[in-house]
Amino acid sequence: MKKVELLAPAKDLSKAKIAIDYGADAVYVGGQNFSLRSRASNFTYEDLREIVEYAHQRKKKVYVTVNMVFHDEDLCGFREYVRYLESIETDALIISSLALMQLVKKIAPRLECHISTQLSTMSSAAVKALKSLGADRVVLGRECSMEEIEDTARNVDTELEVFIHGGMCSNYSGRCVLSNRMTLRDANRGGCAHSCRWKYRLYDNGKPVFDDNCLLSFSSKDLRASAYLERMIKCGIASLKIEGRMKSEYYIAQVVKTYRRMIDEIYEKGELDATRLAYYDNELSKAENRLADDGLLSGNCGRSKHLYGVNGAGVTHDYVAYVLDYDKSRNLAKVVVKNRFMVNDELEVFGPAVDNESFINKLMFDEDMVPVDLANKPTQILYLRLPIEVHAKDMIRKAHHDN
Amino acid sequence: MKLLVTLYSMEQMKTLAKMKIAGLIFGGPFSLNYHFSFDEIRTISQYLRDNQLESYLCLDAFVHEHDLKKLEEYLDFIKEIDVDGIYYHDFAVLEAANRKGLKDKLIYDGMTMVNNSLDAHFYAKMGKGVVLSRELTLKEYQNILKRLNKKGDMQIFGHLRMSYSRRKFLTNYFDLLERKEDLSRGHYTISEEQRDYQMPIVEDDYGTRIYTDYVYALFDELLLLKDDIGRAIIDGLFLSDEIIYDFSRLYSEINGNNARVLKEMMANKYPGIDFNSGYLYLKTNKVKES
Repeated sequence: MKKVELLAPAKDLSKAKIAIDYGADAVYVGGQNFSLRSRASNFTYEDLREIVEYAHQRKKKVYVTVNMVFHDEDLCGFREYVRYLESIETDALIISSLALMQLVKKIAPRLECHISTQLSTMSSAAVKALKSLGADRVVLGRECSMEEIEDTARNVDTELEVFIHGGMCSNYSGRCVLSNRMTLRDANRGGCAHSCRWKYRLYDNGKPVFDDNCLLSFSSKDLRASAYLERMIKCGIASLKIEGRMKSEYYIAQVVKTYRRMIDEIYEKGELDATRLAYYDNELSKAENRLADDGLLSGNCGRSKHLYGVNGAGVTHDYVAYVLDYDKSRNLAKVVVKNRFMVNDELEVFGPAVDNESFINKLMFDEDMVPVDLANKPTQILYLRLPIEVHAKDMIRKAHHDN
Repeated sequence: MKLLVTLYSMEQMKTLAKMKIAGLIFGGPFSLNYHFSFDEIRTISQYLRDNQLESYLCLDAFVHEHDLKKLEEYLDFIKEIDVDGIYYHDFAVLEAANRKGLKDKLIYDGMTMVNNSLDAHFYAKMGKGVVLSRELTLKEYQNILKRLNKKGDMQIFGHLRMSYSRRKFLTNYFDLLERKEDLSRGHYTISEEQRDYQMPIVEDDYGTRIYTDYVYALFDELLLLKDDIGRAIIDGLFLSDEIIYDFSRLYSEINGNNARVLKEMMANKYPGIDFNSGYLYLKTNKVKES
């Protein structure tokens, strides 16, 4: 049986490479037009070519999002863009317009078309309809329960993609225009203002029925589907997708690496026991996040799924440095500073080939090899003398004091 | 242009049938706001046929995997009563209806999803027609509709739906506040804490929806569009029978000479209601400042 794909987001070239280096089988990225994440530092034509080459050299794939809900004025240049994506051997488009999908099939037939979650596909019948119109893969809506996903998978022969981690829309994707009304920012064209996360007063027949200290919010906890990975793999899901094209390189690295290891362990041992699951959940909590749970996978749509008043992140670690190089003969790591840390801090390194290894930061130097006690200038280059071997592309983090 | 009016109660049926309209939209299963039983649907459909009016069923809910059997049964029933059109939202309906030979009845209403000429043409070609999104400008409606050969429908009146969730936001909020509320009896509205206007919010077995605070209403604009609109929809959700009847009458009589007068008449008669042009003159293409 074909191994499930781990699909990661990336908002720019460096993050896409990190996702691949840390274990993603495929990355999805947006170009400078036609994509739903207007604030992402989207890819130029040259960036797209580079990431496709980088991925293919490592036998990985690149999917490009063209998932905004287009108005006529947005379509200028679409044909040329799609032909370019085909010419650089992009593996697939993630698309929300069925008319454009059929256009793509005509003008760039080598491109696969994956139906975006914007279409909110909830059943095998809907998947069959989309397949008959040309879809090569369908992303299921995040409103599906695990049972519904299993039954859908059983009833179709189309590749299915399922979200496993990251932010959740509180409404069916594509069907929320609260942002349009309140900010004139089109939620379906990359302008979503996250109006669902704001606070609202509730009235019944004009009479207040809200609590001033706890207003109504539609804000959803983030998704963390670790407990369902095994069932997703066993029911034949083709691709497990991480949300978050706006996320940092540290988030991408940590989340991708953790899911990579979980998937590999499930294939190796046939299951994940409770102890291992708890370990991996703890690893996921080291990446910045809002509070997370299993979304609607359990079938529960209750109060515990929401955030009222508190968007509190469950993050336990700060990302403090990125390893640029390592001189094994001198035990010296060249790093770029990301966040504040000091001599004598207990730090932890992790990377594509390194699991969590802790050490005390005894000695560090600036670029003139003058010893320094404090690293507090992001982008500053420092050298750390380490008691353990590290590698370029590893990341160094520090636990919060209150954990 | 055919005028269609939504039917939310049996009591409205006979009055609306006397208006100069083409037909009624109603529904039961897989419909978010219509709650008619099979028997009532059959009765309405027959009554409309007897009065030379058209019947359109609305299936605007999402269909989850475990509801597919129920959908099949409902479509069999629809085939038997032979309605004139089926407004659908979920592609599960497309798949099942095509299999049952109902393709020519299908009208896609993606609510927010049909915003350009290509998609509009694509969906229109797949059945009887397509409903354009409610978030378009007047210019966009003009451009798209004229290419659809009267297969493009649009909502011309009523509260606009702004969101649809599977989650039960009101139940969960009252649960948090440890309050017992009978949601079926409430008329709930919300206002964002920095804004004054109140938006209707509804929760039921399908989840929760939020609607515009204002009542979308075309007046002069309709004169520019009417030759190209297939079916123009008057939605009376949350509104009194009197308003629904008034506007159904108004839209059947509106012309170049009286549009402005009718608009003023309605504004004077219903001073508490914001009759609003929605996005007709507002572009929603702003993004967050970097």
